[in-house]
Amino acid sequence: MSVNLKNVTFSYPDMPDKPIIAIETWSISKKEKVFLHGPSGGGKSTLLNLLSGILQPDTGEILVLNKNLGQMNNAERDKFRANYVGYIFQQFNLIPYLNAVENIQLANQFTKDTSKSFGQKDIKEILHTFRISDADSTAPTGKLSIGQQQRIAIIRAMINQPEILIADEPTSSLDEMNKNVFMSGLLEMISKQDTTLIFVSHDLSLAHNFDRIDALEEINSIRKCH
Amino acid sequence: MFFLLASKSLLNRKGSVFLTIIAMSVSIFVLLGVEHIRNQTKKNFQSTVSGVDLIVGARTGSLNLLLYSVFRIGAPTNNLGWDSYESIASDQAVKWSIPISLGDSHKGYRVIGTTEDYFTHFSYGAQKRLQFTSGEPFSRIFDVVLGSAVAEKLQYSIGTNLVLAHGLGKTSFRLHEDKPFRVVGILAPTGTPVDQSLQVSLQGMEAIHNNQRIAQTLQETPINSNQIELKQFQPKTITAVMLGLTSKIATFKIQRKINNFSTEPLTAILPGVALSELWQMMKVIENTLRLVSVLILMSALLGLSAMMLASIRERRHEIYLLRVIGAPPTFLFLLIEVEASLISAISIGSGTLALLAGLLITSDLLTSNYGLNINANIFVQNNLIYAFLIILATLIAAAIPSFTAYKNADIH
Repeated sequence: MSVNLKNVTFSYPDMPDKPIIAIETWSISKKEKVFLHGPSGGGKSTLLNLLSGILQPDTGEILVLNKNLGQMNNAERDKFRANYVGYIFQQFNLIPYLNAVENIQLANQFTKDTSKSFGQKDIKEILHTFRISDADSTAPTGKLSIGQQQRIAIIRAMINQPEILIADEPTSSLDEMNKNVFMSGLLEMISKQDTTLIFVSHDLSLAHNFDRIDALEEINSIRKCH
Repeated sequence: MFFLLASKSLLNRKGSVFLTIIAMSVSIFVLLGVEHIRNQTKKNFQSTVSGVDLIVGARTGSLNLLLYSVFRIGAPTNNLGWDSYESIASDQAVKWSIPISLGDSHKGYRVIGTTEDYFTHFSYGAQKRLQFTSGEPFSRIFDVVLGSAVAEKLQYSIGTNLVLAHGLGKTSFRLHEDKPFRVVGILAPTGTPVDQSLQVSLQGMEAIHNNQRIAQTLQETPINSNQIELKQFQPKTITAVMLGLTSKIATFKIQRKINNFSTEPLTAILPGVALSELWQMMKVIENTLRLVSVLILMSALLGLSAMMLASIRERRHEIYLLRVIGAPPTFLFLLIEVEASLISAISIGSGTLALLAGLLITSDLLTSNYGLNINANIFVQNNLIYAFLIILATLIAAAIPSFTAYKNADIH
């Protein structure tokens, strides 16, 4: 199993009486591509933060790659995330004043696995396959188009060859053409690295690219009650 | 990568960072400037005179006597009689004596009437004697020996004729034009008020205030000859006397004796004791200046801290992204500390350079107007310690925003 949740509940510290997540069981197999959809404010981002270990559940256990995140200390969770989990957001995926190569190198430096280290030349070659020119790869990423930024975000998220990639509405700010380029690049890289993909989106037109489609309302009992 | 991230992050916020650097640079300029000038002034004063056991003048305060006789600051309140001088100088305990007479000037530089003993016994710094770069001590009535700075500034050389002016101002309406002096010697630089002075014989000093015409032959007669006409130029009074004693043990005895001099009221001071009195008096001013410069630095550091704290709010997405890609909270803490240290290091660099430039530009002004020889070399151990302490203070001031970044690392 890549991901396994059991009796997980979570509420934010400022609203302890109002849990936002209550999941009895939810699991994802290795190499599975899961499309997760749900309404805005439904707890999708919170669930993804729980899976990556940024947030800790109030109760229950979260197993990622058969490792219990609750039994790790903060430093171990940071290291685990750097080595095994990739993340792509809707926006703010890159540090805007660094160029593409530096953004990718920055993500790469947090893995302690030397076999996953990439040099500037290797990174530029990968950027070429994602249609990022040499000139664009050395310009501050804040000056690139959203489409280019999201493609660089894929490489940034995949550079440490994570076992799991979490994508939180990464196409919502892209036009049709950029969306297609992004999806084809992402899926190609996922299949090349045998990565498990958890893809959150409102856009059901993308659902055909995935092995499984889950609605958050179905797995989150808080929302079921509403 | 860490320094690249920190430096590019600062460049990305160059407006606020630039203003913070300016504020810090100014405060560092003030702090290092005050410390450097304070140390240099002290060093200057301490090295101005050495080997002199007692300074004697008319009854006055010890500081006043020290300032006008050694540092050429202020003016004497009264003179002491030549007879009193002769009586003191002939004491068995007195090894040597240097009488000095002040009151005239040349283009703003003070003129000292003295004897050849001045060139033999006066010492400065670590008991260094006066040296000549060219020429020799005066030997005739209208000979003059120039301090190094006077010769350099006024472009005088051996053989140049010059006239002295009555009084100490830069512009004088009473010039002794009928009795010009001839340059016979130029002293090597000493870094003391000697560089800013012109040395003439006591007889020469007396002669320019004497209305009698002086025969050409007498002008060329050595001042130490026994020619009877020279006696008319023997001074009646002098300003002060520097004494070297045969034994240090006798110092207090001679001091007491002079202070109780029966013929006229006199004051004898120990230069070292008077200097420490001066430092004691200056300590309050020194500490006030130091406190003000530290407070300026503290306010600049608080400004830096506030700027960094505000930047953390602006950078919440960046901080969250760093956390997601695996940066531990300590990475964020150190990132903010490194950014603050970079600002501090740049400020130290620019503040130091500004101070260096300021000293190079104003060194002539300080020397000619205040007699202060401020060495422009600010890269001394003391200032390096200050630079280290500023970096340390920066790390402490940046701890608040750094800790905020650390604390916020888990909350988005």
